[in-house]
Amino acid sequence: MSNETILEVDGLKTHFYTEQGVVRAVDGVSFDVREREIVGIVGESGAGKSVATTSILRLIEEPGQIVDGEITYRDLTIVGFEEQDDGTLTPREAMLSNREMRDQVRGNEIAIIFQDPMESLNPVYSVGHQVTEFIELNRELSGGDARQEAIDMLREVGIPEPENRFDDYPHEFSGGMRQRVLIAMALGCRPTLIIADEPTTALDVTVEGQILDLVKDLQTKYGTSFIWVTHDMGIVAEICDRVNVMYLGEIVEQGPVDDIFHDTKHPYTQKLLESIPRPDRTVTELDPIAGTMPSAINPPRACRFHTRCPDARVACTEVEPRFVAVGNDADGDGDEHEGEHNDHRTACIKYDDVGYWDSVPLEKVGDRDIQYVGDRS
Amino acid sequence: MATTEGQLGDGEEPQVGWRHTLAQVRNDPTARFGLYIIAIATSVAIFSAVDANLSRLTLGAYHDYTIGEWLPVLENPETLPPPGEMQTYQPPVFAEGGSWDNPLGTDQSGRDYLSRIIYGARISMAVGFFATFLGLTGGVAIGAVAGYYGGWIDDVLMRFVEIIYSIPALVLVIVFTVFVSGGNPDVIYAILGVGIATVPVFSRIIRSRVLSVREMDYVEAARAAGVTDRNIIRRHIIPNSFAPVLVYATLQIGFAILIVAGLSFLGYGAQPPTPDWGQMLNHAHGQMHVNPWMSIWPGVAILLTIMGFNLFGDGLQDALDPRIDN
Amino acid sequence: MSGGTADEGVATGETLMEVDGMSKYFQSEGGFLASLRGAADVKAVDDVTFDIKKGETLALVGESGCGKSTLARTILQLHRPTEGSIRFKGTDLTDLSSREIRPLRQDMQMVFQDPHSSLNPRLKVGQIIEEPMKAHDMYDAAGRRERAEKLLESVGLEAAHYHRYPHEFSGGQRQRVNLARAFSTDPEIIMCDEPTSALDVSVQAQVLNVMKRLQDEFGVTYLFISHDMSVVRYVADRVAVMYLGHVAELAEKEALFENPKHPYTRALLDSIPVPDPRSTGERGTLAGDVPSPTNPPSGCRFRTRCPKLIQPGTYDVTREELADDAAGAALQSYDLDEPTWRNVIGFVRAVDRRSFTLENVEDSPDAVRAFLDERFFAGSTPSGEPADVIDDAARLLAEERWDEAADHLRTTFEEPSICAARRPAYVLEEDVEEERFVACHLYRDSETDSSH
Repeated sequence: MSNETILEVDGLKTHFYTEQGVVRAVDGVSFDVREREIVGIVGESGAGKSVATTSILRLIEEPGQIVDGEITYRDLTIVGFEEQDDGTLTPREAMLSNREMRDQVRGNEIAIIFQDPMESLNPVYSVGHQVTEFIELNRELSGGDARQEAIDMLREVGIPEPENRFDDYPHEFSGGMRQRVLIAMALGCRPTLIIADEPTTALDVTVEGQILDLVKDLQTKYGTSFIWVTHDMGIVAEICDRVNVMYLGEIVEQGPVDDIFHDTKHPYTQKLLESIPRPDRTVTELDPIAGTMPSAINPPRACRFHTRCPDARVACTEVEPRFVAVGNDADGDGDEHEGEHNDHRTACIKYDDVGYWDSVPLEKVGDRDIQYVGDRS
Repeated sequence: MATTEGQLGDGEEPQVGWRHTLAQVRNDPTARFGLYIIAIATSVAIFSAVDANLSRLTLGAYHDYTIGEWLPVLENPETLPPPGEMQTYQPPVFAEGGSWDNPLGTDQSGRDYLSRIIYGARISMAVGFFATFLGLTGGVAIGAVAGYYGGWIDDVLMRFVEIIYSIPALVLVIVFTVFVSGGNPDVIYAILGVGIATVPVFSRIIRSRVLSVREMDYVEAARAAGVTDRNIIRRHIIPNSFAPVLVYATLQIGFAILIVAGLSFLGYGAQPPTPDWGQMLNHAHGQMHVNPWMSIWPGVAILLTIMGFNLFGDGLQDALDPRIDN
Repeated sequence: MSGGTADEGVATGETLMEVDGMSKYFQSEGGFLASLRGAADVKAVDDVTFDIKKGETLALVGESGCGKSTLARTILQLHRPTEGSIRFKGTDLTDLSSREIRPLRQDMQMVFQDPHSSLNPRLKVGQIIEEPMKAHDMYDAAGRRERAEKLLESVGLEAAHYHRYPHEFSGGQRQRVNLARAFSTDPEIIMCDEPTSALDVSVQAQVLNVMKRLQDEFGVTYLFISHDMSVVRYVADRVAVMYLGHVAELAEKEALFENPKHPYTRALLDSIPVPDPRSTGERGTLAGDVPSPTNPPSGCRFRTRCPKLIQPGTYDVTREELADDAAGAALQSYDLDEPTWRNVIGFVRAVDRRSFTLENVEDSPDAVRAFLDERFFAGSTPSGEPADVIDDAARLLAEERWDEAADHLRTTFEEPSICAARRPAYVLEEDVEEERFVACHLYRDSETDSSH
């Protein structure tokens, strides 16, 4: 079932240069998206999910900057650097210019849907106008054709009487309807990839159900891939094919959705699943993750989760974890081999061969004394 | 969003309170400049009364006069030329015929112009502050109550305020002058008139902030906790609605000075022999052919003072805006 | 250690609060002129009756617009009820003036949803916690200070945080401050309005655990509002499900989750995505939108979306109860079998919502009818009178007269139903001695009937 890879992100780093310091919002993130699949990015606020996805479309603004990494969409280089003699990184020749991004990528190849539909729709223009505008910008249609296409898209996403509602304004729609409009706008451009940034967080659960159904239908019909950003594990379980779990600017675990839930490897993912209440059974005790997510300005040294991890050992403060395959890793050596089911990976030294098990456990779970990056001689 | 949430122990600077605001202002050059001008004007206003013998330059050849009790009598008899020999309408030092005795010249009674300008600062600043203070207090009280309670209270109060708004300041001043003192103009009535005329604007400003502040959860929390309305308004509503009022007040002081200068020009403010910039302008206007310089100095003084307040007000607005960080 | 009001000594498990026939209406347009014009009221809460027992956590769940927040705020007299009574430890709060209620607020506190707007940014956290105590003249300044510091520790913060300002805390910590403030007067009941909805998942767990611990420590009663059924399943003892201003179902938590009786409850539970990719069972989807609260459906408000709408004729309905235009079609009993009935209602609603298009169908009534047959009635199509009505509708649709078609269908099939005629309210005796309230005519024949 191996589909072609359409988007590849490798070692993405996006930093924000603020007065308080450099916020390392995304600090080395790698994942890919294949045809016809829904890839989830899950994590709490501050993990960097939204920054990662807006980086893909190069929508990061001052004081933020993409400082490293490769992002390739099919054969287009969205982000690419080359190292100069003095060690600095400069954008590669092949990297698309802003104009090229606008013309070639944004909207017509990769579209994005944001969380709050009221914020994303201009309140002074009718809904039909906005959808038509999108279509005109990104496809070879204009005038009456574009309008008809807009009406068709609105019907497609389940807006009743789209011809009549074409001239209605955003505030005349309910939240769920507005979100459908946004989906119509995104879809109307027939993109290959849609980035959905928490699109159902602000919606009621029954409306959310309708939207999820709609998305699944559209995916089947048009073959669109999705990157779905959320903090809701229920949604992840429901629609994602593969999942990336993010914590403080890094991906700590990635793999097929079943593996993430039923063969959880990383302690953060594990604790996350243990700390959420369930609708399908009564949990007698929630076991929250101790402490709070540290600041991204001075993240903890080595493994960023060590300040809150119940399994942390001294080695976790010294060795920078790298991705190791934890899927059916046939020979158990942590390396990816041809033919092995190596889609499930985690960045935790427990599964690596760097001396975790010989190390002494760290005391005091919770807001431990944070080991700063670059600290200590 | 990759912002840093408040993490205890960061030792951050407080984001609230006057300390923070002051720090922000300190970092804004324009606002600082405005503040300096205000500081100079205010100290001139205060100190020009304290020491009668500051220096010959400033207070030489000064006549006496009183207004109430807070303007002392000043006399420097040694420097007064004998009656009949007063040098009137002297030009400033850089023009022909001027001298360093009177750097800006003298007025129609031989009084040193520079001294009068400096002394005029006192009247202007006092008027500016008091009139604005009056407007602010009245406006905040009315606006906060109207905004908080809404309903008919709001309707009644706002209509009342609109009535005041429709009456020009001058008319109010005249009304006070005529009906309270029987036709004797005095700077007090100017203060009252301008102050009351400013109430509507302040009340509108704070009312609009109050309308959004009262929807905040912490207000509802206070109500749910059983805090009385009066305390809610005092402790929650007003402190959180005050910023735009403060900004407007600094600007309004400038306006007030200007308005009262205008009133004095018309004869309704400070009365001679009290030096007041507007009144000095009035007189200078008629003497253009004798001594054209006389009209410039009061105008410059008014300009500088108002500019100072405006610059500071702008800076204060930025300082109080939580989105802008200096 | 209880509040300043006279200790009526309500024992745990006894009724603490009785809400009886309570309604809260808002004017949809504010202002003097609107009320003259008779602008429609928003019936945010409509004739609601239930009890709250001491020491329990009663959850109010529902989606946006269901009225749960309004209900809770009206109980706490932050809004005055339009109708009905609320008895708190024996006293009817609706009889009291605002002034008389103020001292009672010591016993009724609130925790708000938004950690950012629920704390005055200009006050220190210690002052915020003390304010309710101060408002009720509890202790002296030193005593209040001490208690505030103790409360800070109870919620998992430090006494030294007394001097900090809200912006120095994270969302979860601010909610803890909110809790400390609510507990400061040692209240009997605390209303929590979505206290963890704005928090991150892991922080949510922390705060919920703190809330549980405090409840054990202080013996307080929680009225817990939420839209998140998972959270409710964790904290609640009893659950009240609300829909458009009515209570649809009220039951013990386990009973409700394991065996939901009201179709809306069932639909709600079915909609929730389960955090388990292997979970079997289709996630159900509820179609349509919530109707407007200014013009809610008659009878059972869920009837416009209910998958289990009862056929007309199944139960006796009097002429008076029917809407005028339905009266003619009434008292008819079509006796359709279930599958056919479901198809008919599905069709009626689809026309009402205009969720399909006849673009590609010929304009003739026959072609339309054939299309409808295929799309809506495959398998079970009605005969006799119902078929005639559908033919009429097809004819109207062929002429693009959608509204008329919708009206015709509705007055024939939906309005004569008991679900549209009479508001349901039934109290069932469960085998475990616990009562269960269900507002659904499907349970009309079960045990006690207290419909009005």
